[in-house]
Amino acid sequence: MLFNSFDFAIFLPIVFILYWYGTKGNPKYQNLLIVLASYIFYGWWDWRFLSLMLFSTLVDFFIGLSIVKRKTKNSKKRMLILSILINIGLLAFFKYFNFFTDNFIATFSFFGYHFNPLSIEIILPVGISFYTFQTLSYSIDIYRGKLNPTRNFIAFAAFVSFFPQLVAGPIERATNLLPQFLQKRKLNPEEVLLGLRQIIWGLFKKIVVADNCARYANEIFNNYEHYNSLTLSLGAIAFAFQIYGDFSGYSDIAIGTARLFNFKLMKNFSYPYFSRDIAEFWRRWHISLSTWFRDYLYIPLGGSKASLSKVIRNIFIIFLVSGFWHGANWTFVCWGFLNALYFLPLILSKRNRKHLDIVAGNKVFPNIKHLLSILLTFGLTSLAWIFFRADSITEAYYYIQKIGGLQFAIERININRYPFEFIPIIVLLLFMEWFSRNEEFPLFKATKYQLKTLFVLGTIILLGSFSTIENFIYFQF
Amino acid sequence: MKKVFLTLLIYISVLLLIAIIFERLFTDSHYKNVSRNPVDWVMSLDSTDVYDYLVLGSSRTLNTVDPFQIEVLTKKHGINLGLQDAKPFDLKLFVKRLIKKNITHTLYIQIDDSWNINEAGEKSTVNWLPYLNEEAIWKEFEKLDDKKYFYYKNIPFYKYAHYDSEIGIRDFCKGLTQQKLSTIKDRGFIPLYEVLKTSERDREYPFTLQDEFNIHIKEIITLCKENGVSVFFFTAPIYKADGNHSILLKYLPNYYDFTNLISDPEYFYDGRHLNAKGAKLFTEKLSLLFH
Repeated sequence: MLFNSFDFAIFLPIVFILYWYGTKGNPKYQNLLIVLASYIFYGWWDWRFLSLMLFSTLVDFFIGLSIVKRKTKNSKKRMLILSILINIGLLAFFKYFNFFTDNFIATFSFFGYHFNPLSIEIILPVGISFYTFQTLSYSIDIYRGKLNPTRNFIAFAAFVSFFPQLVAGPIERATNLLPQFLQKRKLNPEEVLLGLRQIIWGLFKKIVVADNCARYANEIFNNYEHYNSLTLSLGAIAFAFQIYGDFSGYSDIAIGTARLFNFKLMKNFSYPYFSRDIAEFWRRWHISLSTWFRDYLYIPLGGSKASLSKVIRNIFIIFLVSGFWHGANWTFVCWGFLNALYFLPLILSKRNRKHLDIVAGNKVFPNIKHLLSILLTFGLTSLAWIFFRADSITEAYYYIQKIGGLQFAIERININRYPFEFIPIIVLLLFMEWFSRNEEFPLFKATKYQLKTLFVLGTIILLGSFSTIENFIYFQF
Repeated sequence: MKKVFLTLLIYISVLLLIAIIFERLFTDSHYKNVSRNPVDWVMSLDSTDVYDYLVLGSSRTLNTVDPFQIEVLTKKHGINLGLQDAKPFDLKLFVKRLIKKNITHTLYIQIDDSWNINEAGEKSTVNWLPYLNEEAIWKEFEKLDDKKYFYYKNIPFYKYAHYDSEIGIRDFCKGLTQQKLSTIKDRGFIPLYEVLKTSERDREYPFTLQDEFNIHIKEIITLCKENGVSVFFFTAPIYKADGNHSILLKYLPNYYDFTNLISDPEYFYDGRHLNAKGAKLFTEKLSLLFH
């Protein structure tokens, strides 16, 4: 079920009413309802994969209990390894099997050995990358002694399958979300209002920004060989805002929906395109994944406290793994590698934690230095996004090479639109975000900003792209 | 929770109000501003616009028949009302409107394998949606027995949001800035300037027409007969066509088959559309009918 679909518009109010008025405020019934609703939500896409989610839930529930029962550290570790093997094994099979097989065959063919390709048509279960990471964090945190395992299976199943963030995050930590399922929840009108406004803001980013930018990005990337430098640069900018609007829009809808049920999910985006360097960008982009990798991979590898060479190694590992997490394609690995390269000068000069504050503080405009830093960071990330969007490394290479051709004639894009038409939408988004950068999201303040919410609603109706309902990009991961 | 429901009510009311206002503004702009597509053009014609003939059809008419050339050859003044992707349903709506406004007494209609289609076209029909409140037009849509047209008519702004690429904000702005349909000055004719690709020259274009009267074409013939309008049907050339177009002879009065008139690929843009050179040759042949 898509957040921007008619089905969801019916589904959500029904679940909301049943949750607050049909469960007598009993967390047991509320959790049971969430599990049922989440399984319906997920099964709407493909019911066959419900068993996979249930399997993952059962495995980590029992492993969690088993870890605390074990007396020795080694036997606890064995249970943790079992959880990791099962979760990563599922992910590896569904997401990476064909990738590894193809690369294995290609490598051996290069040396003259030929194998018959083993072709298995594997459907990637939506959200598998997200919920496996979420359940893994549960087992790891229990092993580390940061969390006590729950004996409440329904609460645990609700934590794994919680429909607002099930298919594309934020990837929640058990330490944050699971206790919320165990406590009594009361209807909080302020939170419901905030949730509603965050959903509206998410829909704006998805339907107005992302889907309009997608039309340009799709046309330009699919036919890049016919366009010149200026159009290709605009294509890269369009994709940068498509992916931002799409993914952060999804996150806002997810967090807003969770608020309706009085759950607080972690923030996933914090105005990343106002970042002054790449380190700041990664503190503001897909925060739940970045911090997951930081806590469960980067720090165990030694983090930034190791020697410089090890820190550099760790940075590359993190970004390459993060790239590979996104998809079974070398383009994502390249994207990760490029981001690691961008990070390198900051690590070497020890300036990776220079920008921890909000840009321009309480001033209206940033100074020239900050403005140039923001533009440079945006340029670098947009360049990396070309690898993320391209179908192959060769395609990305030729795309960038054509940009380097420096032809700047204004062309008509083959979608009956002129190349600059999506720019006012981006300007509107940036304008609204800039003046709200101290807030969690631009419609955060309840009473003062009612007009702003109404304006956004009007914009959705007037400028929304309804003719082509695009899937959320991160569903494929 | 009172505050929540009140806010929700405000949101819904404002949404509805915005939708109603924009529905009105967008629809009015089709009536009051310049014509932005062939449907607007037809809807804007009135009894003072009199033509010797009108040519109707899909893009195979739009790119193929040059009214200026016909005027030079026959001294007859007409326009090309070809509509991209038009189906017999669209042609019927055109004919009804043209007859109602008494614009002409002679119609030339291009028909090909669209003969098999009794449903409305997807792309072409969008242009009619702003006029759904016209009783005569709504009656025809009602007959299609497709619920979506009921929603387009009755849910404010739904059609403009659903077809935002075609009739949405961009189209509205074009209306406000008086950017009219560029082909009006060429009387509806849009020539194509490329030549059929070498890789496509061996390809054949097979088709099978059903041996059954298309309901909309049947209605067009009846309407024309009742109102004293002469109607001629023709099929424009198709490259390496392979099918049973002769079936149209059985059903259509005044039918002229030009399907295999041109076989030289240099005259084609693609398998189904002539290029400018082909259009010139074809218009010359077609104009013979005007005598």
